[in-house]
Amino acid sequence: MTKKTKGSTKWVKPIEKPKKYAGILLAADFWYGRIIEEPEEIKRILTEAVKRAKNIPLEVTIHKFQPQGITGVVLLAESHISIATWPEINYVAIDIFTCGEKSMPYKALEYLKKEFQPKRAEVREIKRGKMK
Amino acid sequence: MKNEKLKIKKIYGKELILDLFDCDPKIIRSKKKILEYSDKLCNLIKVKKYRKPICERFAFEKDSATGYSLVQLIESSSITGHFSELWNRAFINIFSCKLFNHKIATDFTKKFFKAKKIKNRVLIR
Repeated sequence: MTKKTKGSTKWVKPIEKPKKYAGILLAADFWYGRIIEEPEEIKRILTEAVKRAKNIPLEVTIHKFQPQGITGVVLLAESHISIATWPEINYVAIDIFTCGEKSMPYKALEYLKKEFQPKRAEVREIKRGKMK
Repeated sequence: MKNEKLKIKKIYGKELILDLFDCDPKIIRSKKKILEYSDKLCNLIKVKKYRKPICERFAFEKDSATGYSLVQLIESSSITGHFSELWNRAFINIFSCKLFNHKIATDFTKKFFKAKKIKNRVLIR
């Protein structure tokens, strides 16, 4: 609010500094896309997604459930990318959690969309760790 | 039908996102304690662990990323954690298609890491 008063020149609305966060999490739900059941293929896709996000992969762990479904995580120097698949309902849940100014999580998301080709994709962006 | 909008959406999973501030520095720097947390949490929220957890300390030139990272695969998805030694913060995700009590998990996590502040968010997926 800007208001002139007798004793002062103006009430000036303080300039809000942009809030800084430690990281960003993209929680993506992919529906009715390509079903990938090969752990090696999932590993390749996740590793490529990491590259696209300009992150550094540290460790990959993937598990294939019987009779179907996969869960996996790539640990990054800048956090992680995780995946869980439910082929029985044609659903894939992906988390891309990155920190650092150089990280490009949306590039990874774009790539993952190309690979999984979902007919419906819901993405939620969550900023994490507000800085003082 | 008027009540069509009230159709219950099927839930396939729940994700608890926890950001912890001002944690006990000793606890987030201890591999033993972080593994203890993972183990106790799985028991508490009744999820089955799959394989041994990964818990490694990564050190980088960029200090903010230095600290332990944790991955515990569970039969219903995964638990991940990142611990920043510079800021004494922890970033934890608990994702499970088996529903769990997120309040219990939040309270336990805050208490375990002796965090002064915690921000929790729940995603229904």
